Formats: sequence, C-alpha cells, structure tokens
Amino acid sequence: MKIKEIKHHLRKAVNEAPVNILEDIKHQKVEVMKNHDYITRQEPIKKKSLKPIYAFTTISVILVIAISMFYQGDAITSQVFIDINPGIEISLNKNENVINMEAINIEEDVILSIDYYRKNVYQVIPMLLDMLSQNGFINEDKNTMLVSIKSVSDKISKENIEKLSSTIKSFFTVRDSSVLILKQEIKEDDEAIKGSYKDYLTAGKYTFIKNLTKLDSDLIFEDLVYLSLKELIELSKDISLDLTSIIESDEDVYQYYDEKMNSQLSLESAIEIALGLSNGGVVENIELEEDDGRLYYEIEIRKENQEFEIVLDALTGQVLEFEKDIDFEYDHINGSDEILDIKEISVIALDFTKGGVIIEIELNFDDSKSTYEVIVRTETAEHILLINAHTGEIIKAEYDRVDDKIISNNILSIKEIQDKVIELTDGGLVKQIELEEDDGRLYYEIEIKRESQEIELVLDAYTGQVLEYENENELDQAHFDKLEEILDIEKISSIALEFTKGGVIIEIELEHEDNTFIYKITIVSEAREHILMINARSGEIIKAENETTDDKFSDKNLISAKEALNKAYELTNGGTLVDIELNKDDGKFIYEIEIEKDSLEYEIEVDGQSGEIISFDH
Amino acid sequence: MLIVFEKRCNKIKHMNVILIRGAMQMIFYFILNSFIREQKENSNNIDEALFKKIADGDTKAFEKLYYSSERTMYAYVLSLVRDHDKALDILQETYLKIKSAAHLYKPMGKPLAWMFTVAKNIYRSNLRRESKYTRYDSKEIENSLDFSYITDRVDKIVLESALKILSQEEREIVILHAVTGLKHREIAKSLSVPLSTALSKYYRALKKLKKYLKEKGGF
Repeated sequence: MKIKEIKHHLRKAVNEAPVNILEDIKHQKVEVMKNHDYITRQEPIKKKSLKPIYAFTTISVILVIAISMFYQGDAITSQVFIDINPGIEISLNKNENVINMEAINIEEDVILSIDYYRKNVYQVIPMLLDMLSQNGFINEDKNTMLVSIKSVSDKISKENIEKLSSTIKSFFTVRDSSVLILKQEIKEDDEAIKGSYKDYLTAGKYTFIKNLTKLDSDLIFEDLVYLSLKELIELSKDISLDLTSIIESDEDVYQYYDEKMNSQLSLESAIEIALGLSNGGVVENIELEEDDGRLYYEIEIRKENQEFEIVLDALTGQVLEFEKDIDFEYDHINGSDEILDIKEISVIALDFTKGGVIIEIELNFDDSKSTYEVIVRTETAEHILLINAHTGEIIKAEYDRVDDKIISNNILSIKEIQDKVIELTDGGLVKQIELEEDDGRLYYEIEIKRESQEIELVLDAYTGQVLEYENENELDQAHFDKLEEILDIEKISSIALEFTKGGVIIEIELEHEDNTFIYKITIVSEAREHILMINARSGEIIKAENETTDDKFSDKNLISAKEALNKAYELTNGGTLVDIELNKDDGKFIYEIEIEKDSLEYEIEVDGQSGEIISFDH
Repeated sequence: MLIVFEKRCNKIKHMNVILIRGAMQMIFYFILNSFIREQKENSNNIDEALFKKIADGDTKAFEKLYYSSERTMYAYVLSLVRDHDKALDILQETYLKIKSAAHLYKPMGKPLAWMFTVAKNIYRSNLRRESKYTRYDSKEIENSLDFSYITDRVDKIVLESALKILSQEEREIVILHAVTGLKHREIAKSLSVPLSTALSKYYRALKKLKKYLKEKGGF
C-alpha cells in the first residue's frame, strides 16, 4: 500500500467517527475560571524570526545581480555551490577565477567584504570559510557541507570538485575541526532553480532535495525545503535512504553522524542527572531532540504521585527545564500554612542554579497552593524557578540563554535585604522583590504585605539605603481625625529623624487629606533631602522619598525645629502648628513658622542659630 | 510607495532606472508574497477572535469554533487515547474547559496549539486518576480498539494498525496530517516540536505502518 493510500484510509476512517457532541455541551453552563490552571495554561512563544533575513537577502541578491551586470565581459564556464546553511553560489570563468559570488540565507555583507573579483577560486574559498567561521556559521565540531558543481563539461566538473573538496578539507584540518563534505555534480542543463525557491535554496541544495524525493517518492519536495542540510541527512538516515547514489563523500555519511551523535552525554548519564533532580523515581520516557541545532534530552520521570519533566542539554548536561506535576489532592495535604520567607527561598533557588544573582522574587497566592516565582541571572542564562512557598520544593525551572551581563558586584544579598525589610516594616511579608536598573544604578523594589497594609519600598542595592517608602492602608479611614488627637511636633520629629537616621528638619507641614491629618516633613541628611508623610494621629510613616541635594544645613549649630517652635509659642501662647520651614536667606538661617490659634493666623520668623524672634505678624 | 520611488527614479536620467524599477518591483512582490504566506500560516481555520466572543457568552461563536475544529480535535484526541468513547469524553471536557477559560486566552497566533494543550492535559490528568487504581495495561488498550462504526474493512484495519503500532507522538503527527490536511509546519507549530522532528517522525512512522500493513495484512 502506498503512503498516499494509507493516508486516504486513515482520513476516511477518522472522518466516519460519529462525534456530534455539540448539542450536549452548547448550553451547558460552565464555571468561569479566574486564572489559568495547569490544564489551560498557555506556553509562551519561542521567538524565532528569519523573515527579515530573507527579505534582506532578496534585496542583497538583487543588488549583486545589478552590480554584476556591469561586468558581463567574463564568460562563466562553471558554477560552484557551497551549502553549509547558508549557501554560497560562486561563478567561475575558464581560468577558475571568481567572477561573481552570491549568498543565500545570509546577510550579503558577510561575503561582500571579500575581495573576490577575478581572484582564483582556491584563494577565495579559504577567505570565504574564514568569514563564515567568524560569523558563527561554522561550528567547532559539527559541520556538514554540500559542495556542488555545475560545469560546461563533465571532465572539468570531476577535476574541480576533488580540488575544491581537498581545499575545504585542509582548511578544517588546520583548524583542528572536522567536516563532512558531500560532493555532488549538477548535470542537468536546465535552470535548476525555479520560482520561489530562488531565494531559499542554492542550485546545489535544490538538486540534492530533488534527488532525495526521487530516491523516495513518498518524500515531498515542499516539506524538505525548510530543513537544514544536517536535518536532511538525519531524516534520510531515519528512513534509511541510500545516499551513495546521489552524493559522494570520502566518509560513510551515516557512520559519521552516528559517531558525532555519540560525542554527547550518554543516555545513561542523562538519566542519572535527571533522577538526581527528581530524587529517584521511574523514567517513563526519554527522547533525544534537536532544536535550532542544539541537542537536548527530554526525560519524563514518575515518582509516586509526582510527574517530572526534565530537559537537559545533551552536550553539557545542563538543566534547561525542570517541571514537576503533582496530583492536586495530594499537593494540598502536603502543604502547611506557613509560608517560607524570601531568605529561605533565595537559598533554595541559588542552590539549584549554582550561584547567580536573584533579580526577582514574587509570591503568588493561589487557592490550592502558594508559590514563589524566582528569576535568577547567571553569567550566561536566566533561570525562572517556581517554588512551593510552603515546602520550598522546586515545582518548575526554566532556562533561557542571555547575552547581556548584569553587573552586580557588591550588591546586597536577598538575606541582607530581608533583614533590612524586617527592621523597616516590623516584620511584614515580602510579596515581591525586584532588582532594577536605572542610570547604571541597581536598586531593589520591594512589595510588602503587613496585615491590611501594603508597603512599597525602594532600596539602594549597594547600600541598602531607603530611596522610597510608601504605605498604603487598605482599611477605609472613614473616621475624621480630631485635631486634639494628633501627635505633637516633638514626637513627630523623633519618628521622622529615626527613619532618616538623623539630619536636620527643614520643614514640617500639617496637611489635611482624605479625613486624615498628615505631617509632611522635609529632612536634609547626608546630602539627601527626604520627604516623609506621617499619619499625624498614629505616627505611621505613609510615604518616604528622597533625592540628592546640596547640604547647606549640616553643622551650622542650628536650633531644632522644636526649639524654634517653642519660641514662637511663647509669643502666641500656644496654638496649632500649620507649617514650620527652615530657609537660608542672605547667609542667615531662618525658621518661618505658621501657627493657627482662635481662628487667627500668626506668622513668626525665628533666627535658626540664635533663636531670636525676627518678625511677628498676625 | 512604488509610484513615489518611480517618480524619483525618472529624475535620474540613467539606464539604471529600468534596473532599479525592476528591483523595486521584485522587492514589492517579495514583501507581498511573504505577507500572504504569513497570513496563510496563521489561519489554521480557527479565528482567534472567537475565544473573546465565547468568553462573552456568544453561543454562535462557540458553535463556530466547534464546527471549525471538531474533526481536528477528535483526530488529535483519538491519537492520544486510541479509543472512540474515551476520545468523545475528553473532547467534551476539552470544549467545556475552553468555554470556561476562553476569556483567559492570550492570542499568540496558534489557537490550535492551545486547544491541543488543553486536551492533552485533560488526557494526562485522567490517565493519572485512572493509574491510581489500575496499572497501565497494554492488553487492555488493545482490546479496547473497537471501531465498529467504520464501514470499510481496509479503513478500519489501517486505523487500528496505526493506533496499535505507532508511538503517541507518531500517532499525533500522522493522524493530524492525514485527517486534517494540516501542513507539517502547522502541525509542528501546534504540537510545539521542531519542523524537522515532525517531518522525520512523520516519514518514519508511515514507513513503519507501511511495512506492518504489508507483513501482517498483505496490503
């Protein structure tokens, strides 16, 4: 039976199946899900784009054709096609000089920089290979190259292809790497490349694929066009095609591939690594896969009620993916109510990734289980880990290669940050922590939950200095704060100065906002100006920000804001403070004080150094 | 855009004009072509916008999704469970799950991939539930291959053979390609495997099946 017929029978058989289930489910009410669960979650797309390269290639090829038209004087007697994915087409005149060179599936500038015109082809090829190697198209250990030739006579073809192949071979031998050269003569006189394949394939690869489809009539040309040379050979090997009738090679092609395949991690050691990660269990499935020229093992392990999916780099044994699926019922029982803190989580995560910098930790609450998502950056990769927040078990780990390095010397560790947070927030739960970069400075952005409050903190990643502090109270503050209940300036000053670790208070302002009295306090300390918002009744810090400033207030023997205010109160005989501000005016430091008493407003200026009253208005 | 460039080209009184114009047209057609190709690839016969409508409770949209995907989804699920009745159960569960999660769907250009994932996860979780009570038994699977509704004897033998001798991944790829006429590229995309793997598995599986049918059935 032909494959076509098999397909036909399969189609008929499946199409006959009575399915009609629509009526049953059409009006069935379903519960609307709040979040994706493990059944409906969507895999992120792997970004892969070759299209612009194709477009660029087309444009480049057209340009080369245009340019080459000016040099039509040279009669072309043979053409050489080198496919190493990209493909290069080289046209030669009867003296074996290169008249034209074109590239396919590669940016044209790679070869344009080679001065090839009218140079001998055996000189040009090493230059070309060198260029391809510099641009990463030639690997260290695994190379397959298709060399095709099309000539006016068979004799020239035969001679040239051997010479070409030995030139290429010696190039690789000198560099201590190996290459499998496939040789092919293109005999057909017809214009091999037709239609839309012109931009994707050289005549060499086109002929090779055409010949493959002739060897096995079940193969479809259009299917094979997008495969790389290596993939084509692996496919041929899988379905045991006899390649010797269509290509020549000094080596046994399939054997070469077998040997190369064996140079990676053995199946046994892959299993060993995987079982180490799952801590035992039974391997249910192991597969060697290829993606983007990289080989990896996909291993499935079952252990009691758990199922692991592990992906290992087949060359290095590095863990690329780790995923653990647990039956729901079991999982719920396992978890305790306690949630591990970020200190413990950071230890678990860094242990798994073998070092690196934590750039994000996020705690997610779920109905059945709470999880921490941790992103760790190592020198070459970004790891995304999902960790059970109760047990500290790693549920899932993914791995992405990254190129840009993060410079993170001397930054505080998560441990130190956690201590800092506990000190600042009186033991809140860190929900999210992110390492961010701005203007070359690194800082931690932290979200903390404490009872009904949500606190946002920004800490300098090097010094741990508080750059921003914001406290959002979720409770509705419906009560109208009474003026009598608010804290006095002495208490407020000490709360504020404790937060900023000293400094000079240069302004205190009492504001009334959303039924709440708030003190807005400005403090200058160590060349930074802090602005704090403090709940005037509870003394709670609601928000704190700071920025660099010129410090013109330190070490000037200034009296404190409290002392200045007391001087003012002597005049007004008490009252409510509205605003007190320290200013520098003509080299003099002056406290400007506004006091409200018996619906009268007083404005008093007090000398910041001597404490003398300068002016008094009402 | 082309016209503007042509006008500019005319100002340059040079023989290159024709050449450049030709080149511009080629670029234009290339871009057009690749655009059309992109559109075709993304079609998959399923409109991603349907999910949003389904989320809003649009029964017509749900019907439309069902009709445009029924056979494909059935073929896929059948390749997983190898049993008609079980396939129908999972299919039903899958569509209901899609209904309840439609509003969560993020368009990524591969709606079918998501539907496959949902079906596969349901299949897996059912399998897990079952395997708690019964051990995996290949004989049982063999016995359950009953496709009495198939009228043509050969059709039946081919399908049963495919389900019997091919691995799960091979079944997915072969049945999807044979039944739905989806392109290998689309199948690879929807199953999230590299194209080369899909192709290689496809050809290997069909060769295996061909050999089996010849030896056992004399076809």
